[in-house]
Amino acid sequence: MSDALPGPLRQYADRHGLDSASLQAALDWQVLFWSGEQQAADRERWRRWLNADAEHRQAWDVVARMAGTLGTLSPQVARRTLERPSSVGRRRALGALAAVGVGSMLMLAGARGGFWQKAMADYRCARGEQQRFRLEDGSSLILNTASAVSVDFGQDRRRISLAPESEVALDTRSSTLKKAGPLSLALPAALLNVQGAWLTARDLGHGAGTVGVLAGGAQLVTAYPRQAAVTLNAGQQVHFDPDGLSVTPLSRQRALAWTRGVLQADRWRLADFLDELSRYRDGLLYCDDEVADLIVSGAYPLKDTDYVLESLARALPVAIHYRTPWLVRVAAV
Amino acid sequence: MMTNATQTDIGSLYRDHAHWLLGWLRRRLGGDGADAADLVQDTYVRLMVSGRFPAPEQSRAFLARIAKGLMVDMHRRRRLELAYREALAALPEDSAPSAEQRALTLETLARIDQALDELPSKVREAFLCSRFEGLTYSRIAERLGVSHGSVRKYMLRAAQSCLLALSEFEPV
Repeated sequence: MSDALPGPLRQYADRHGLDSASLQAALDWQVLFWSGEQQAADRERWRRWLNADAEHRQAWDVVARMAGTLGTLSPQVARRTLERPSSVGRRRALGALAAVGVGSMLMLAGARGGFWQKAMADYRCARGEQQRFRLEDGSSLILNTASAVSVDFGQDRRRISLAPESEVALDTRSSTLKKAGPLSLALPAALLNVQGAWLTARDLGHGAGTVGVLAGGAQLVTAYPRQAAVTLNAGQQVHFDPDGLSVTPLSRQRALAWTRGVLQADRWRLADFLDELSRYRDGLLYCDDEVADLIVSGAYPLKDTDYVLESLARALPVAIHYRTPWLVRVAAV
Repeated sequence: MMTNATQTDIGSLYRDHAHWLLGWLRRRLGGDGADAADLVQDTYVRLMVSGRFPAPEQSRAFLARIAKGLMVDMHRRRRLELAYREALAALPEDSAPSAEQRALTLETLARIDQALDELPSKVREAFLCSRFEGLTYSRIAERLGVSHGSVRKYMLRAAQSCLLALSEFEPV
């Protein structure tokens, strides 16, 4: 049967005047009956055990009451309420909170998918940071917050793959390789063919992404069969998602703001602003519906998101409530 | 180092540190004074119930440790409440429980949640599969990729924890 009762349970038995061997046996019986695989003979053995001793009956009453309490719960409700991701770190727990979706609660990338891929990547950048790398072909690569790429430079090809929800700036014009093969930049839902170019690319999740070309050119083909390939020239950007694709003029300043550690907002809704800012900090950042449509403009330093929140509170009729450093609510004053 | 509690210990711990603890909690709770005040109260109650008091030079570290644990509990409880509300929202409207029933159910769920929280995640999963999906131990063993004997052991551990968590509380 089972191992000896753990200490707290023995103390519990003592406190309630129960025989601890009987309590252990009663738990074993209950676990057998929960299996859904018990035989008629088990039931008969149990009956004999139960009637053999008053202490058995006492112990069984306690265990049966516990089982009865569990039985009062609606199975779907209990399942949904109690289940959680297999790893229960604080951030994941907060992720579960966000998945519930209250008001315009915004979730941070911490609990988003693709983590394994980021963990395996060749180059990565921590949340809240921007990091510069020089690749072996001499290209320069800047990673934005919580981003990762893997790099595969073979004999006749160079391929850089973005992890989901990553953002990079890549400049291949400085490549020192004399006869470098073609370079492709793979996003989760698109593939770019890059000739000596300077560009930014961001995967937005859910099969969407943006690419902006600052210099040189690139061809983009998305994962969606009905969308034609597009050629992008310097000064153009493309936004694509499963529903379509649009090319617009690129604002150089806006496209490069993050590479200088700046969040550049031009008449953004507060909810969108916080969504963007939340990429740069751990935990949850959300606002009440009544302030979601306030307008935010300006350049904000990404290094210090607490300071950014403070400045919001000075510029707008909002108050910042830190439930904890990881749980921040922006509400009307 | 622990010493046994006396009335004066409690009094001086409160007098000397309660205000400091309030500030400490308020900073961590983003200025929420009401939550912070509740948690100060809970911290001292927890201390008194435990009957174990810190040596004077460790008072603040000790209080802070208790308060931190309570803060985590509070967040866990709120998360559970959200998950419960969400689970209820998925039910057909006519099966919505009364407010009183909801409070009792939530208390039961919170106790189970806490009991399972101290156990490995496979124990939790096995328990949920068995009790709230009605799977047999063989099916659970398959799903979790463990032996039948392990499932039984998991269930015993879960049963022991639930017994402790639920026995001093019985909903009607």
